[in-house]
Amino acid sequence: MELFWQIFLSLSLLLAAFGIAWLLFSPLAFIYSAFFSRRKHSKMLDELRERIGLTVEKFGRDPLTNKKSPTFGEEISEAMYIQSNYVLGPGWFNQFIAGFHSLIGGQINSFDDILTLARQNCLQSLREQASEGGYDEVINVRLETSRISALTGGKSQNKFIEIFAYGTAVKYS
Amino acid sequence: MLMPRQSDRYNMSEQEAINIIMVNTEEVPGKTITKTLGVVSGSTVRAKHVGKDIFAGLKNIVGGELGAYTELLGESRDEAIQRMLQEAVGRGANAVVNVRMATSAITPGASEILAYGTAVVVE
Repeated sequence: MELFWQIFLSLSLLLAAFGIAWLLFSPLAFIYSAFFSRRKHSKMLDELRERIGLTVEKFGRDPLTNKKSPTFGEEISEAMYIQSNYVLGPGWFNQFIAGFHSLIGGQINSFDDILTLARQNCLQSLREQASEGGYDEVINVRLETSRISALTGGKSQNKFIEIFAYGTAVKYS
Repeated sequence: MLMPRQSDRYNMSEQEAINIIMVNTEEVPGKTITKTLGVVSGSTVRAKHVGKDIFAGLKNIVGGELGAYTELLGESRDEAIQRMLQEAVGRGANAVVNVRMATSAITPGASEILAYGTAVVVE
């Protein structure tokens, strides 16, 4: 019986310790998110723009199009399906701001930034796949957005956004 | 057999997997469609284990790419496509055209990926 109480007590102490740690940790994490997430995202966006610039330079133009046939009606010799996806965590601060804006309305600039980041990342991945395979153009590009949720965090937290892009890479004959 | 059960699915050989053409345009460029064999589809539902879930939750504090989830959904898309192609090959097709993808969140922690297209014979 003594042993049972010892185990029970130590388990509940452990749980309490986790609770207290979380209470201390979450506001700190929120503040960290508020100060650093915007900066991190704009840095990532700058890097991405550089990469896009390099690939576009290599092709001589942007190889992506959502037309159903090549831009100038070129003959095609080879076609292949390519795809890419990107799961985006919007960050606590962005989620908070978005919730706040649902009261007063208006544009949410920081959210725009990360969605642009995710979308351009997907498109860039298509460009890179096309250039690696030696393809000339990617036709019929489509973009899709969906919301997935994690098991943890129950309520409104941890709603992740998935961006998915797919298209057909073609080689001219 | 319009709706094959999971267990009845045709198992593709490696050669067939290489030979089948898949595009998301309406026609296979440079080839003509001689026969259509109906809509084929493949779907999969997947979830990530709790450890990676928690890690992704922590990464979400600042925001950015959640690698574990990207990988998970990429894998499940490949699986869905594979199932769709298996159904197509089972019907005797050698290409799938007009492939479309759909994603839906069915329960927290799991999402369904659906791939569908038209199975055709091309020459």
